[in-house]
Amino acid sequence: MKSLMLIMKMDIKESIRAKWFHLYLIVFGGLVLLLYKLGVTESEVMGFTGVSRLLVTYIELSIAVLPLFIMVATVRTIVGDKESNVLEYYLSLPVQLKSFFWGRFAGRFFSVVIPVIAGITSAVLWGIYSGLNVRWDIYVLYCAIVISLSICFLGIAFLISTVVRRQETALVVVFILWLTMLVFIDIVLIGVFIQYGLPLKIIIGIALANPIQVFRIAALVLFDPRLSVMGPSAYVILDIFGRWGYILYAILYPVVIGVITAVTGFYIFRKKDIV
Amino acid sequence: MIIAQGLSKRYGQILALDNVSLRIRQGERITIIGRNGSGKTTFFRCLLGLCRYDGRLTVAGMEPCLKRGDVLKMVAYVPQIPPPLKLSVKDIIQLTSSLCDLKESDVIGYASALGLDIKENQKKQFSKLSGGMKQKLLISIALSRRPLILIMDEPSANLDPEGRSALYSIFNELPDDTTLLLSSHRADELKGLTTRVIELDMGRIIKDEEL
Repeated sequence: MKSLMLIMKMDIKESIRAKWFHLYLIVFGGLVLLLYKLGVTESEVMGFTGVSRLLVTYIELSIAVLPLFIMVATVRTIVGDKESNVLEYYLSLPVQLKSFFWGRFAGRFFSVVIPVIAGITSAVLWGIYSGLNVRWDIYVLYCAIVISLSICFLGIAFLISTVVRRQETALVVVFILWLTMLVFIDIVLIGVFIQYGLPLKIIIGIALANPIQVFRIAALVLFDPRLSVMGPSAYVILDIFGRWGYILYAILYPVVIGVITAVTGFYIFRKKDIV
Repeated sequence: MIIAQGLSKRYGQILALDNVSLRIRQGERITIIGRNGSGKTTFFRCLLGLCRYDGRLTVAGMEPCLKRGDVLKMVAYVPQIPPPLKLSVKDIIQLTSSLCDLKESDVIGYASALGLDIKENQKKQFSKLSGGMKQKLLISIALSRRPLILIMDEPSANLDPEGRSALYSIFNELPDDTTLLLSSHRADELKGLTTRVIELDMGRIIKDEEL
């Protein structure tokens, strides 16, 4: 446990020095400031006003960007360390493989989650300071789904990182995966599937399997009082699960995906040559 | 201390180690020489449990792949090329001190003997140091661990003449029970420091002689 904590601390320190983290901070911290500056809290869209409106916009923008940022920042962790002989050095020290792998995972988790949660929290604090109405249920839900989504994409990125041999390959795999997930959301290909009469079960299955779509429904549609952006599959899914059932699914499913992929990544990491 | 029997390691089509068998007694000082790609680094990596291999290999009776943690408590390693660690010098010393239960003051002392001022460089990122400074820091950390087996892959490659001379003096002062494994392209470079020379070529031992 001691070495896991030390590796986690090391990973956080490395992240703080890394350029990707500075860009990440600018994007997710700056986004809140930008939305305030643009007067998002004063407008009303989809029935949302004030801080809720800002949070919905923030999360809507995060849907596309957050998974990509997490995967690009993480996918080079193991394969990059291997290529640059960093792994050779650290693992010549008396560190257990599990401490190294899970320490890296935990460090990266905090590095990607804290800036986004800080962004959401600062929006809420600003709202309180400005005397705006704060929807705490949305705040809690958004924090939960950001954490859940981060675990999901960290797990996927760690798995890719342990499987591929080169950083370039890892990045290509990430982009293809991200684009595939982005394409299979309600407003893009699923709409086309419905138009061409694909069986509903398959469409719902695709929508429920896609973490970005799950994230989108939970973040955007669940609290949409006018159901104005509800996609066709999202409508059916909400009808099947119900409000709380879907919230539970939206939080647990990405965590399960993340844990399964990360554990698989760890077993591959343990079985293969370290360098 | 170290026993290899029919040790082989293959990377795809390349046979990096080919049926290597040897015994190394505790306290021996050995130079492993050979051209680039002769298998020196692969042999070290096998000893550190960093790669899978065929055949049998034991360090103090333990298989490095199966008992990595226990083996690595006894072994300190300095790689041929310092890795581009993103931590600061201070962070690296703190991390290795905590992981290996070593005293930071020992690292500072060895670094000073090798000509590296830790206080002056502690805030610098490791990867921004010169090649020689990186090597001196990694050597200082390895020495501070007071290992039973000290493995150094081309330790003097990046060192200035003063640093090299200081390192050789430190080698001479190592406890008698410390097994020293050094690699080099040339045997004459480490002459006087070691008591046995093993030459590798194409992954095979082609010479093994006591000096």
